[in-house]
Amino acid sequence: MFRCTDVSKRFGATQAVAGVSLEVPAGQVLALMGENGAGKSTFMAMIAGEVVPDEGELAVDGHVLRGTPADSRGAGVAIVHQELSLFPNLTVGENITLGRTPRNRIGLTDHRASKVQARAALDRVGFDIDPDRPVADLGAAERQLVEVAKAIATTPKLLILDEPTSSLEQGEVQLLHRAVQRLTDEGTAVVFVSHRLDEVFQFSDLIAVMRTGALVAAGPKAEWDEDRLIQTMVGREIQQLYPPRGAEAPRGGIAALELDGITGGGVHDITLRVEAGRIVGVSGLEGHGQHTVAELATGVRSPDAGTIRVAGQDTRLRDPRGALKAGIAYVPPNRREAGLFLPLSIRDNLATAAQRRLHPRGVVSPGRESRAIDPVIERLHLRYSSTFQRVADLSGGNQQKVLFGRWLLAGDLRVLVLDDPTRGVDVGARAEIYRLLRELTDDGMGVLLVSTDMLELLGLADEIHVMYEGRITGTVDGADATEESIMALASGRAAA
Amino acid sequence: MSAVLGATTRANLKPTIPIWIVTILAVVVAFAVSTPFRTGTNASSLLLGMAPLLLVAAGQGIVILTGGIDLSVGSVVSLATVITASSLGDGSGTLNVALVVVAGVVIGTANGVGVAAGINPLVMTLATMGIVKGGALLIMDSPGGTVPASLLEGLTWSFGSVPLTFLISLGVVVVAWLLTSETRFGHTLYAVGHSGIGARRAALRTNRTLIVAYALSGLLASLGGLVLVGRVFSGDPLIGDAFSLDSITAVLLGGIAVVGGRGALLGIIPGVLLLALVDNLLNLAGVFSYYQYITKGMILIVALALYNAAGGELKIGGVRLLPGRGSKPDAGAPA
Amino acid sequence: MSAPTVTPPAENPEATTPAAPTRLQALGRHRSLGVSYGLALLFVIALGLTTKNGFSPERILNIVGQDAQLGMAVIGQAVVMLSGGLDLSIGPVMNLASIVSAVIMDGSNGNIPLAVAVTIAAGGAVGVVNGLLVAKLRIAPLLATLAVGTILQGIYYVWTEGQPKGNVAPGFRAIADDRILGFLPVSIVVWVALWSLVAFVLYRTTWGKGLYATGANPRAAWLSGIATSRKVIGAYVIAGMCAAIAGMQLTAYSGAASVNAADSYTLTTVAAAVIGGVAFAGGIGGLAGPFAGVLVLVFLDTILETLGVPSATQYIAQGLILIIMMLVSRRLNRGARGRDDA
Repeated sequence: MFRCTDVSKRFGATQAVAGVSLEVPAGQVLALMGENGAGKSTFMAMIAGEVVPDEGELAVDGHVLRGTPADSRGAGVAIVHQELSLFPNLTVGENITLGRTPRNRIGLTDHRASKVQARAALDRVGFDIDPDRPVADLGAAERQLVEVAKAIATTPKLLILDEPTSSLEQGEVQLLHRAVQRLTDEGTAVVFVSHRLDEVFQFSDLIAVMRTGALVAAGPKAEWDEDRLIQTMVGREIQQLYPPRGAEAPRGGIAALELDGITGGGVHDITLRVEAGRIVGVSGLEGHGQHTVAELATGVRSPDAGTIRVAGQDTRLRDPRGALKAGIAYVPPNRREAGLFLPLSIRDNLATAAQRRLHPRGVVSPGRESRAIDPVIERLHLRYSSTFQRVADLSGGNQQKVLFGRWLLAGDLRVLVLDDPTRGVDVGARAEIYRLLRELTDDGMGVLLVSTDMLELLGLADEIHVMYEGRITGTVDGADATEESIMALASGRAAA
Repeated sequence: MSAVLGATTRANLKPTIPIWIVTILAVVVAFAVSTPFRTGTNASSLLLGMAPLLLVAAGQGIVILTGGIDLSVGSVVSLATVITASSLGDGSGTLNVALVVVAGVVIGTANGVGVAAGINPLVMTLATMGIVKGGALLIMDSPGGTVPASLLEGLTWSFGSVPLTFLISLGVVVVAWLLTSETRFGHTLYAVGHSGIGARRAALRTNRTLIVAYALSGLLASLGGLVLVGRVFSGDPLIGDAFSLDSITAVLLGGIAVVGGRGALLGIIPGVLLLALVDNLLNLAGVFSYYQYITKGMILIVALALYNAAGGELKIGGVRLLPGRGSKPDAGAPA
Repeated sequence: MSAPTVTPPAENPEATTPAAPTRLQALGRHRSLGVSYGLALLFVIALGLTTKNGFSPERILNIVGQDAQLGMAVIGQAVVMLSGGLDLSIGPVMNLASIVSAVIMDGSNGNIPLAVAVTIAAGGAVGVVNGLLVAKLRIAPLLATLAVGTILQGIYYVWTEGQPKGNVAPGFRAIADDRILGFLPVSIVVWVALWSLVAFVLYRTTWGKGLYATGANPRAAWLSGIATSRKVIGAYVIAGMCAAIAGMQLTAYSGAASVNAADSYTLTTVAAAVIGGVAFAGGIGGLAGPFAGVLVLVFLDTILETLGVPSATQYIAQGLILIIMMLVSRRLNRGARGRDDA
């Protein structure tokens, strides 16, 4: 049904996918597993026709994919993306039938037929929503279900689900499960990516694991259990990845940063303390408000209610600039969109936040800049050819290091707020970043680490706040936390 | 109603409500206050003046819905007047009209191909603007020419005080509105306007949609030039320059978002009417015509500032007139 | 987690970039510099071959000196484009400058300093308005500056009733006519001086660094604590002042104030900046490229003039070069805005 042979793809310096061969028979569900940056997304983008493989070929039902979205679509591939790709300026029904809207005799949209089609697709997912609702009005979970309905509206031959349950609740996950089952009964092959292990075992017939771009193991579900799966996914890296915790930092002092009953932007009554030398984690499933917490803590958003205290002083953070003056720096989640200056040099990217400190009179002295930058680059273990090199030409991991280095240079920081700092970063660079984080906390900096990567939080954080529907539902100590205890809180199944 | 128009079509009509209200109020006030405004000749000249801009703005609106912009429309209008006023073929004007149509489509298609190839719409249309302007000046370096009599007759035909060209232009706007809101092409257009990458990912025919959008803009601008000849009776290689700004202003006044993907083409009717009305009243009041530059610029700034101040969401009396553009799915907050 | 001593994992195999960029290339943003200057050189040669005495330095300096106002105005346009904006009020500001300076001079050499000061201040004031509209009211730069330009046009047309106004002082014409050491036009000296000043601000001040960052990624700049509004407003002020100086140069050259002599400069400045490798996206390009862009346009015009083709052909040639350069710069800057990795 779906077959790929020796598929490889390279992005600049990064080998994203290396020689993957794989087969999924009709009516079977393959769970594709792997850590962030293991190459799953690139692999799926190749199936979707968004990325053209450098080598190898992919085929659906004998049709060799030519590497355009239209061709893949034509071959019967439907995809549900991790980042939702609905058009909020259109309605649910219009999104579902987009590109093949039924027409009446004079070529205008036949709304009656269109609605019938949309409703039929929604029914297959068991989701009851008015097709006339604008997508802009829907929440993350509703959008995800619509997205699935859109993908299966045309009974695809191959359905790709990229973390389809990340913002769904238990009941909705079951809806999705039943919809997938109905499709496989009709002979659709499914490739499915998720980080929830229980779901993987519930949904799939086959399990395949990718690591650093290569397929490291594949086989029927019966051959797998959770332990083997986790071990295969992370290799032995988990031990190397997270540097050991240092001596327990003294507790109970004045918190470097304290949020007290903060409400705004969809989160409610957030109270947490970040003390010097500690890493405080915030966990939650995608769309439950954890990014908003990071934004509220760094002046990106202003809270509607509640107090923020920096080193014990009530502080109003007007904007990121104000937060920075108070000693709070922010590493945003999507480094390409919100973090880096891609067309500019490594040097300019690093020095951005340090200009005033390095050149108090406003005139740039390249010599002084170099003297400040060189040790930081050293500390970052950056792979580069010249400090004048464009950041766009670095690999993802090195880009993230540069972003990180910006705050090493800035000086006088109390708290570093990081939001998903290692998404799409290779393992080597992740280890470096974790090591740096530890060094910083050892030097007395406080860290607020927002992450959707549970292993990362388990490996680093001294304390983990778990969010569900915009509230902190529980707090667990970093040393005793387990994936299960966090997941229970994050999915609203348990309250602490 | 719901069976006739799609939900998005209806939702997109809401942002046009404020401009309709303002424009109708302005007409009523003008009617009440100004005696010369009430005359048939004035109505006729007002409507005749609106016709070309309605056409050009309809094309501009289609392009702006894709998130682009067409700065070449002004030159295309000029070129069309020059072609119309050239002595061609048997003098019946058929060849002139055919050439006007072809020129518009070709220029528009060139813009579309460039934009689809990834050139910034602004630079692409700026470049064609220069090229077309040069072409118009090569054909006719100063205003003049003669318009085929039969053609001119058609262009100046009028039912009482209502010129034929105005009615046709109005019809074209309505058809363009249906095309952009009630067809597959239209849905694709709005999808591209919201996110070109998203549309490509969704396997929509992004390039074809862009090319068609710019081709339509070229065609409509060209027809706008043809209709303009019905008012000025000659060709002029520079007459269209103002149309670029005016068409953009009319489109934005009509509630179409400059970022693309939101608004309804019907909104340009009150938009154009308001612009024409301001000019008309300034004329009637005997104000120095140069003041029109100032009023036009002010109207554009004020309109944009108001729409922006509403933060993408315009509410009047609790009715949401402008839906927030793809508002981020904020944290799954319970209502 | 039983094995405590493990060596750090090896870095992913990473392709080494062939050659380390030198300081010049890497201004990272000057990739199309070679193309721009190559094109300029090509045109100088073409000019030399098509006319008598084509290669005489004196003649070339004269040609360039006559169009120095374009070079001055482009500096501002480039700064605005680097900030991620666009200034379509350049032509109107130049016309305004022409009228304001002529009116204040009123034919007397003694008024020149005052005229220059007031004119530059007026240009700066227009820049402040543009900048506020863009940075504070968040109006798209294209529309904000187009509207401001139109309003300015209205203002000086109403003021002058469309007729030339004011009286250019005889001493003022020296900028256009005088030659330093007998061969170097004053206008070129003014142009280069202005260029050097703005280049210093752009490359060697924290403000300039912040401007590049703002243009390259406004959100990232804001999140990094850069006062982005000040950068944007400042860019438009520089553009307004450069346009004002360019307007005065044009007045000095033509010897009379005019309400429409500079109309075409709005677009020519955009063209010169784009030919010089300044990208619309912001943060890509510099001031060296537009210098070449100006030379290309100036030589192109001269060549077409000497070939005796109708002047309208210039518009067509400029448009074609613009499209070609956009395609070239798209290739060269590929990746600067994010590659298609998943």
